[in-house]
Amino acid sequence: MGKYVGESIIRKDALEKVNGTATYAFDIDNIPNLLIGKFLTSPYAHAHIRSIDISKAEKINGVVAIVTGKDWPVRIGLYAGDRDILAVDKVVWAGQPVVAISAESYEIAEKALEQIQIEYEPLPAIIDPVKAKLSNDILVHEKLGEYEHSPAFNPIPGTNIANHFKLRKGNIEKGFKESDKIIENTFTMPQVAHAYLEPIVAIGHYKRDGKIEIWSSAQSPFTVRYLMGITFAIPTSNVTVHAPYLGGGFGGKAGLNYEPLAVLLSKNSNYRPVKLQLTREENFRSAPIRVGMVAKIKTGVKDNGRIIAEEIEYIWDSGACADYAVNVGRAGGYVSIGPYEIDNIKSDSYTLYTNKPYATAFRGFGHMELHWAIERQRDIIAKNLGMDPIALRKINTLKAGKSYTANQHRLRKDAGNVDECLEKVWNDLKTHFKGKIGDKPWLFRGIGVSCFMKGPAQPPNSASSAYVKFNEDGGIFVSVGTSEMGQGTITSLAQIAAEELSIPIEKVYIKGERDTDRDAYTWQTVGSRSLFMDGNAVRNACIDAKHQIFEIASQVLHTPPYDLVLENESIYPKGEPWKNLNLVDVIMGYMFTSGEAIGGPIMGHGTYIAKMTMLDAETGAGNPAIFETFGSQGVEVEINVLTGEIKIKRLISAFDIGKAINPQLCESQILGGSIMALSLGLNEKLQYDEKGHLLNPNFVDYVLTRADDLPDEFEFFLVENPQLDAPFGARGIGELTMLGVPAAIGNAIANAINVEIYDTPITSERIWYEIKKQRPELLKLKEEFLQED
Amino acid sequence: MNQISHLTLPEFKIVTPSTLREALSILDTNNTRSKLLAGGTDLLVDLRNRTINPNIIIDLKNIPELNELKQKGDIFVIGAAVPIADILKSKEVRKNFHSLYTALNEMCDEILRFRATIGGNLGTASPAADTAGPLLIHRARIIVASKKISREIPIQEFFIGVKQNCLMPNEIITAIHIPISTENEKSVFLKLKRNSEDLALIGVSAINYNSQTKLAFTAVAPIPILVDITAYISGNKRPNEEKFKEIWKLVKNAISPINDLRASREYRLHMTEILTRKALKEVLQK
Amino acid sequence: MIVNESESLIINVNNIEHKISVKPNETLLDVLRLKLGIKSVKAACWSGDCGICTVLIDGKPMKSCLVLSHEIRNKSIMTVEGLLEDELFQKLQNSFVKNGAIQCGFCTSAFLLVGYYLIKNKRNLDLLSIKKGINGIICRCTGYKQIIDSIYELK
Ligand SMILES: Cc1cc2nc3c(=O)[nH]c(=O)nc-3n(C[C@H](O)[C@H](O)[C@H](O)COP(=O)(O)OP(=O)(O)OC[C@H]3O[C@@H](n4cnc5c(N)ncnc54)[C@H](O)[C@@H]3O)c2cc1C
Ligand code: FES
Ligand code: FES
Repeated sequence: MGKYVGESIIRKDALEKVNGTATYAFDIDNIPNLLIGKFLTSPYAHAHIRSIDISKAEKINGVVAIVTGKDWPVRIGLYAGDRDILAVDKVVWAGQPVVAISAESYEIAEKALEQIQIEYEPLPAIIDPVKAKLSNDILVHEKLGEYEHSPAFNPIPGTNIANHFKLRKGNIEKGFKESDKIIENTFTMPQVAHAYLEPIVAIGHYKRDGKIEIWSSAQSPFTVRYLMGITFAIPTSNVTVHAPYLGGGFGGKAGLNYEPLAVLLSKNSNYRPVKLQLTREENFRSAPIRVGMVAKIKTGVKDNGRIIAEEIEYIWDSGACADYAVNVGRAGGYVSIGPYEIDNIKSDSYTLYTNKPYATAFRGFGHMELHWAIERQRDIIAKNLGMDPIALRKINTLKAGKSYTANQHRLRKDAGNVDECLEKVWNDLKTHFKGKIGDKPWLFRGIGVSCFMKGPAQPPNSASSAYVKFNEDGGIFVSVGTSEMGQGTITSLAQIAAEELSIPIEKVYIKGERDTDRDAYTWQTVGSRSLFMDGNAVRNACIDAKHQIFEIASQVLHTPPYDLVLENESIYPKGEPWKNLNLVDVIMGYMFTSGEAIGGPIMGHGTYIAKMTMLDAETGAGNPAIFETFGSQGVEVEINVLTGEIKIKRLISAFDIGKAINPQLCESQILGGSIMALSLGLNEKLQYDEKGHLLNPNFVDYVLTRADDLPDEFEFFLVENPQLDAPFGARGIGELTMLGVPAAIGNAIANAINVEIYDTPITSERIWYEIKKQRPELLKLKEEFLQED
Repeated sequence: MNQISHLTLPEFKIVTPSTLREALSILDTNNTRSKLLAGGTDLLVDLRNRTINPNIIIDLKNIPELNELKQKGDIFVIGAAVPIADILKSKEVRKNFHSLYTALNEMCDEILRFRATIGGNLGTASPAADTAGPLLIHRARIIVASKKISREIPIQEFFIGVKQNCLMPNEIITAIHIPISTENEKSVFLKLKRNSEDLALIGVSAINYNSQTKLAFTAVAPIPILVDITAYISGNKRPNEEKFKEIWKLVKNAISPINDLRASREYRLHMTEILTRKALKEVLQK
Repeated sequence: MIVNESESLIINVNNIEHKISVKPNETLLDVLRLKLGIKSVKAACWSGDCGICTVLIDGKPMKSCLVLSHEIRNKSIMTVEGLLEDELFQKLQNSFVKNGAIQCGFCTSAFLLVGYYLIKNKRNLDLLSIKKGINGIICRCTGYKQIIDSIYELK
């Protein structure tokens, strides 16, 4: 197909980025009268605020405003209003902003913050999410019952439960009774940080006329606009949000973060704009992070490998505020069992409050965590049955037309094929695998795979729109609402427009920065939804423009519109390309030789709205997503059993993405996503002390994968079973690239040394510890090690 | 004091002396209120975190004596302010001090090595300082100057506590002197890291020369530790398992690894043993 | 001479001499971004870990958040803005574009500068030495491989 769709077109933002001219919110400091904002945070994870004394700070020259929670005690949040802009009566995590200040410079702001005195009355804090669920002695939010929340969620007042999602199918007791074997395990993943490089930046300007203007490193400028209207009790239309290029987001900038505080400071600073830019440490302590997970899984299986019952409890550690974490719990709940069909399911997915930084969306939206558990469990089951892990999977995987999640919903016929992905990965791994024994007796090699699925977690009425507008030279300006944070969507959207309108890709102009006044609306840039949703909207806008063009051309060419063709910037009747009309002569309106003119400037408009259903509160039944992308990943590892060191030799991925609109962008997503997942799987963990203080708020001890840590070899496969209602068949891929890596590593370790890992990060220390516990005899090799050549 | 994450540096004055004399006299009159600056890779971090709050910063980089890098008879001289990237270019260092060369090659990252210095590494005196182990086993002497006197400090006496060295506030390290061994010398440096760019979770150095065998350990005690195991080694040969157990007992008594967020005490102990085995393998014959 | 308050300093950035008044506690990063408006230089950690504040000082890459502005007297600083007309640099930019080495772009300038340094200064540049050369810079988006390939292509 296609001249542009399916081609590795160069990124639309490439030149600005290599020339250093791409502008990020971080770079904006040329707004007249701009002040610096800075906040003071709580040193306690849980405490009452007794008093705040700002008298000394106020007197410092250059301090413009000092605000506390009482200045604007509106609770904010995406799905539940559980977060103070600044702590009002009590603080609920160490790092929560309590007082904020605007000043003429950082020096002044920092000096003034030193002069502020806050007295706290420390309270016992709840740090462990499992304990938070079991006991109600310590409540993060006593007033949970008073908070407003979206009807899609069920917070339980008097507890720390922010949401409880239930999935029920078949008869779980019966299922277990009929099982030949029952296998139970607990798996965990800790809270982690997005570690995008551009820190959170919010510039807020509350203007005298009651309008608000914001420049923010925001993934979802329209959501920010909407929630800012609510927060400051002004019409949505009075709010303008600019989201320039983002220096990475990965979900961490998907919600409403520091925009309200910047605006509040501005409001109290004589209506001068204020820039809040977090330091790395502040970003770790005060900005949202990713949930932690504890998964308890009990699986009933027949000797022939058929899984017939699965009971699961997911506990999602949301930290002090629910933010996206309730929706993570919901999405994790309905996808509980991964890409499988199981007749009897009982799954409970709880989002828990704890006194830690609050959790938001993170690339994968709970799916990397849950597939860590599910896919490790699948391999452990296979081992118990003495079966090949691929054979076990293939017996149970979800096939097109089969029912998934709860009873009613069936996977569409044109869905992707998980088995095909699995086979590709497994065959590749097996072909290259040279056996378990390494060059030295203490080096062991193994291979492991996992498979997974994910669709966009969005509300059923999530919508996108786009407009295309022709310029005099025949170029088009495409306006969309989705943000460019590195994933490359705007390039793919430009390709869709070029293809649909058959104009050169160089003539398609699309901006990387968003402006809610100028740009077409989209709900949010999350969940790998943009290519599908905004892609369909762009396509529809182009079709609309084409109709307008044909309407005019039909009068010139005396041919009905439906018989016209638009190709290579000219319009002609089907089969008669010589009777052509130049596109440029039509797009601003056509003028006959007589001087009579028809039509007018062409501007096409298109929308797309999700086609899903609500989910049943008791069973979770319903259609949760517009598409599911399936995939599989595998690794070959080498383990040094003396040290626990692990080397990733090969990393293989396969995804059924329907159609690769831009193969190179797909490759970039796969490389970037799988390395991010490798980093998360092997290194990353936010570490807290028992009082809830974050111990590693920096890149020294929050360890990230670097260039010299890369696997020796990469390989990937793009499977293209198109989805009919997708733009050119394409499903999203952005998040999928991460989902299977940790589980594949865990499985490969078990394959290499027969040691099971249940928790991430899989550090060398953890591997050594598990070897010592499960196979201490291997450590004896150290004697041989000293003497060998 | 409020916990503030600073973007700015505190206020200070800066001075850039071009002679050692000038530097020493400024230091002498301001010794408690000043801080020396070499590559700044520790100093600027400390300034930003407000762990130090000097009035005057004395930039040492323009002082000729601190920039020497040369052989003087049977001693090799490394100026305290020579960037590590330059030291790594020296053929003599590579040839004569294998463990130091390896340590320098593993320190920080290539970009920071254009700035970081050995003088700064010793100035900070972190228990995890990567140069400490190799300097210990290579019998380095730290050359120190003050306005009135100069002295040489044997490296074993240099470290006195966590991030504490024996320098007086008016002293500057000018150079590090390392004897060049005429014997067939073999040395090694091994560093345990969480990924390719990390501070040492533990560092193990070993040397064998002139029938002497020594080990040095970093990040497993408040100060770097030197352990002489010559008595356990015969004929430059690797110890057997029994002998190794005795060596390990000696080492274990000398070190005191802690539990922290980077690693547990248990893992540090285990890995110190494994890396000690590895180090001995490399410097001794089978 | 002890520098107290703001002192004017002549610094050469991208082959242009600037006379600016700088306080002793201002870093090179501050001077470049805030005083001279050179925004290709980014920052993400302010403590030497991320490397995206890297600039070339007398041709060598250094992390500008850990350099005091008074240290760069008589030295010449290069950032992406100053190399846009340099033929080798343009080749490297093209290689980044062609190989898909750019995602969010926040780290791109730093990798370009270090890549440029490596190509110019290292003989026998192989994949491993490129990895070591760029190991001081974090990229959260790309997974590094396409960056490494882009530099390798021009060795
Ligand atoms: C990202 C990062 C990674 C790092 N990785 C490592 C690592 O892997 N291994 C490691 O060991 N360290 C590491 N460090 C720490 C640091 O880089 C080293 O300690 C380095 O050697 C310090 O040298 P410098 O010249 O930058 O010292 P500076 O920061 O200039 O000075 C450090 C201290 O020494 C004092 N000082 C400097 N010169 C002298 C002198 N001539 N006489 C007396 N005192 C002096 C200073 O006053 C100051 O107190 C790392 C630092 C960073 C930021
Ligand atoms: S900002 Fe300089 S290294 Fe991170
Ligand atoms: S491209 Fe985003 S950090 Fe490198």
